Amino acid sequence: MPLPSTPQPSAAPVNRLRSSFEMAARGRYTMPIVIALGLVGMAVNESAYQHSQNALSSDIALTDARVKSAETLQLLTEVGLYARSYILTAEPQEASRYHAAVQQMQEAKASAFALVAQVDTQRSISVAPIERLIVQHVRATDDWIAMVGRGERAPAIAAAAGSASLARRDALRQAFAQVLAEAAAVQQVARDNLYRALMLNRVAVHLLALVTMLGLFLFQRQLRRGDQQMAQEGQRLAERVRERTAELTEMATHLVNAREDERNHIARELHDELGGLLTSMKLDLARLRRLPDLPPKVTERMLSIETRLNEGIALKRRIIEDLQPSALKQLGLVQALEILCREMGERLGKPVQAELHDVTLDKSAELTLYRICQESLTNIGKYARCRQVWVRLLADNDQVRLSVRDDGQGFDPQQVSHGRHGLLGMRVRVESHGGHLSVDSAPGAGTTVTARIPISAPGN
Amino acid sequence: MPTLRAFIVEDNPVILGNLVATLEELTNIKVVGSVSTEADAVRELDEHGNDLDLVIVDVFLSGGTGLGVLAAAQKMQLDARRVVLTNFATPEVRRRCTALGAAEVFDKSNELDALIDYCEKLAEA
Repeated sequence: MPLPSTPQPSAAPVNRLRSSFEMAARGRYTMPIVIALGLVGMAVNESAYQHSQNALSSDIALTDARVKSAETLQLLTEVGLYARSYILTAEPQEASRYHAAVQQMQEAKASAFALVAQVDTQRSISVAPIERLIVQHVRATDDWIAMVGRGERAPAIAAAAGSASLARRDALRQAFAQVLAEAAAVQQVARDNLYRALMLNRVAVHLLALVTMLGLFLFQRQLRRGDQQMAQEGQRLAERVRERTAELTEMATHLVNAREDERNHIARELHDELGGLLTSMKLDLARLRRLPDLPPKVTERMLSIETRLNEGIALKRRIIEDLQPSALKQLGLVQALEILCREMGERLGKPVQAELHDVTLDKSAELTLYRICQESLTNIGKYARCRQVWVRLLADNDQVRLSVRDDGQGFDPQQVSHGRHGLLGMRVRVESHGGHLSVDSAPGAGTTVTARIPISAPGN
Repeated sequence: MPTLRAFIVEDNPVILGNLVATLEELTNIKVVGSVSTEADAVRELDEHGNDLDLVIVDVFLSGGTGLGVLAAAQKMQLDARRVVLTNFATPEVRRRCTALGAAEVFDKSNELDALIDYCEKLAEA
């Protein structure tokens, strides 16, 4: 069951795995899980540390406990020795040595017990038998000392020579050994726990390292893929913009052509139909005027009609010329522009300086340049408030350049929408010939519209 | 005084009708034929050109141009006078028409009287 996005079935499981990784990575529970994992790792590590510390100090305590136990046993022997020495010599000095030894032995025993308690935190080991044996032992030797003090040396010697004290010594040694063995067993448990904790810690550290590596790997791959996707998206967008621009240019070209066709049609209608009517009326007037014996009033009226008729004809001509520059068709670009500049100069009431050189272009490019000149001059009349206008047409290397410049108030090209001044329409027309239109203007600095069309343009 | 035979090349029927009536009423001219395209005009001139005294040609025709007609007439070395009646009597058009053998060029709007006068004089001569 391949996913729709995976073209090859063999790649499906890998991709599924990958995508489920990514899905998990994007999930809302991912961060809590990551935090929990991190906390668990820290807890495991901390626990291992605590275990190690405990085990280590317990180990030291156990060793110390062994030393102290041996010391206690040795001091017990010394106690017996000093007691016997006192019995033999009855020197008070030996009695005080005996007491000091007892004191030292008690201290050694207390620290041995404390060390065992340190190892055996659960208090599972009983030191009571040792305690009892020591008490018995000390009580016995104390009895000897007391007997000697009372002057009863013979019974004291008899007691000291008895085997009872030796037996107690052996029992004590065994009792100590017993307690130490138990403590060692407890310590062994602690060690085992430490090993387990260390093992757990090792596994946890390895796991964390692996998870971190995997996470970083996935993150990096995700980043790369994101970059890739963004690049692709950018490319797609650029492609779309190109397509749309092409469509828009095509549509604009179509509109320009449609407008030109419509103008041609209207111009033809005006020329053929209206022109015919006006000419016929003129012919009629000519015939009327030649009638003999016309009353003066009729002649006067006829003159008036003829004047109006001439005005109508002039108007029709101007409209036709605006719609469809016949001069361009008949006389070529340079003369058509010359006529246009002269007429527009009269209409604007400003001098239009024309510097026109012969150029070679196809008909439709000529019409475009003519229209741009016409449109620019019309704009100048509407907006520029200038004193003078310059129109230049010349061939510049492999392109024809037409510029229309005024010394008027200008404008800020950034703030003028494309629709105004018919700039967009002009631009589209020029670009449809593979050319380029630029508008240079600034407030107070006049305006220059420049159209460049390549001479070898693939005219349409 | 013999009547002049005129031939008109004009594609606008309103102008044509009016022009014929005007010339025949005011001058001693008989319009013997008219066509509206260059091809027809050239054919007619080829067949009957020598029977004509005057050819009036419009520059813009529904097919071809008056310039073509003038050029053909010049090539045939017609005796008939050729005059041009056009809406586009610009200096350039006048120059080209004259170069192609036109005797006169008249503006359709402003020089109709001049055309009539010219025809009158031609008929009287």
